[in-house]
Amino acid sequence: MTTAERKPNVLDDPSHDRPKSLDAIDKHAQQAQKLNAGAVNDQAAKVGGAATRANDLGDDLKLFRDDVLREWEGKDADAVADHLEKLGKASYKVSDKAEAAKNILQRVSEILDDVKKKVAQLAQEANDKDADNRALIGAARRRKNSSDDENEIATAASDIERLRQLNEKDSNGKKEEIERALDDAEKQIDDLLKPLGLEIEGGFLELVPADTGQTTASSVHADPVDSRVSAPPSHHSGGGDGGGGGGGGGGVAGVQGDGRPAKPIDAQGNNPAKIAEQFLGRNAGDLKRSGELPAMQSWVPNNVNCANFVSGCLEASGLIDKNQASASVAGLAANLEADGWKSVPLSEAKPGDVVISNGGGHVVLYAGDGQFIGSNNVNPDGSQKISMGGGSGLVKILTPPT
Amino acid sequence: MTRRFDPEQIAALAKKVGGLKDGFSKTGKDLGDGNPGGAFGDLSNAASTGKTVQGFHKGVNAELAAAEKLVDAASQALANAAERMRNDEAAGVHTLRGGARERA
Repeated sequence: MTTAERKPNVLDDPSHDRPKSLDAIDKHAQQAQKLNAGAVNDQAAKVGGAATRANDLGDDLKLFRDDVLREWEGKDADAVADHLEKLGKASYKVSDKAEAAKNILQRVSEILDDVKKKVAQLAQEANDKDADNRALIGAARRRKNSSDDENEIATAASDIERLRQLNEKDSNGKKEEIERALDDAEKQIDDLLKPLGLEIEGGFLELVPADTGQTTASSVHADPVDSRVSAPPSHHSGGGDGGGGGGGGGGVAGVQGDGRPAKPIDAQGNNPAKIAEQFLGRNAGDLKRSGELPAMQSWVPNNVNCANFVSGCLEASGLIDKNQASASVAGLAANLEADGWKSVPLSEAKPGDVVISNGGGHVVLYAGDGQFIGSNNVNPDGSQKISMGGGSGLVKILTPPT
Repeated sequence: MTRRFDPEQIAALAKKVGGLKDGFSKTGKDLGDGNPGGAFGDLSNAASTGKTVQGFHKGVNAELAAAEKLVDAASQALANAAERMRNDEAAGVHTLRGGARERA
């Protein structure tokens, strides 16, 4: 006795003709309908717009950099031009990354569109096949129920069971195909989007002096730059020592208010910490434009001069070249490490070693005996002054190659 | 031979550079926050994918915000230079006039 003969009601009930996996197929089809390739394409268009704008702004920055050098000259003109050049390059980097992201998002959009269509098509095929199979099952059922011949009834019942199994198999095959298509799409999208998770190398954030210990744009201060720059050489009496060879470009402006000479210090071979001590109590804002530490850049805002000052001391002591100086903590550390500077524990630190502190957002010099010296945010208005301290939140100490 | 600089040219440059701040600001606004809404439907990675796209937008917006501040700093440096040049020119004129009076 066959199963069909044992369960005549099951064989006569058309609701058992429908494969269970068809429910899953219909659910996948409904969910795939929600995929919105157009929304991702809109994002791609916006990112593409940002890429174009950033590229144009990079062009403008390059143009203005050339204008600065055409209209003005001297140390400060060079510093501003150099700053604009770096901004231009950063803008191109942002543009390149956004352009790449646009292409990625466009591809993701295509994948969403393709998989949406494919799932709909496979679901339709599954339903069409189910309809065909059910028509055959229905015919077998009619044969079974209209015949008096027991053999024919048994054959028809067997056909119903076989056709149901076939229908289930067909449906399972489509379900697997749909799930494979969705999995493939998900995997492709994951792989495509991986580069979007990476930071933009060489972008603007790397140019932001990181004294505050934060790396987001919110740490960038829009405070007054107060970057009074040296006046044109023709307007100065005295000033630069033409024979000294250190100033370059004629007279260097005197430091406002303190009457100190604006002459680059000559401290080759000295310990950078000893050089830093000469400036204790001086405001970084004055120092950066005084010309005493030629590697200091005048455009750097007054509240974020730590790396600018340490760079100035290192250059004055002859430990680095001017092109290794950086107003960014990360930039300076990277330049030093690229030059063979090694990380040492505090117990082995020597006066003049470079101390990355405040969780990586600040840099000072080791002064010996557990003391530190640097450009610290100690003024009431948040601007920096050369003072002892600044070593808390120590990350690493870099010592020059021997 | 020394060269004289035109403070007005430098001031005009400061303004041009300052104008880029608006350019970066508008770029960020147009870019938006990258929220793809329900674009990824019920895909099993829909949440992480949405986060990645938004994270990218956040990163670009942070870059553009930093750019705003950095071009502003450059603009202020140029504006301050122009101001300084104007003051020095004024002082120069004053000295000359003083000298003329002495001679008279």
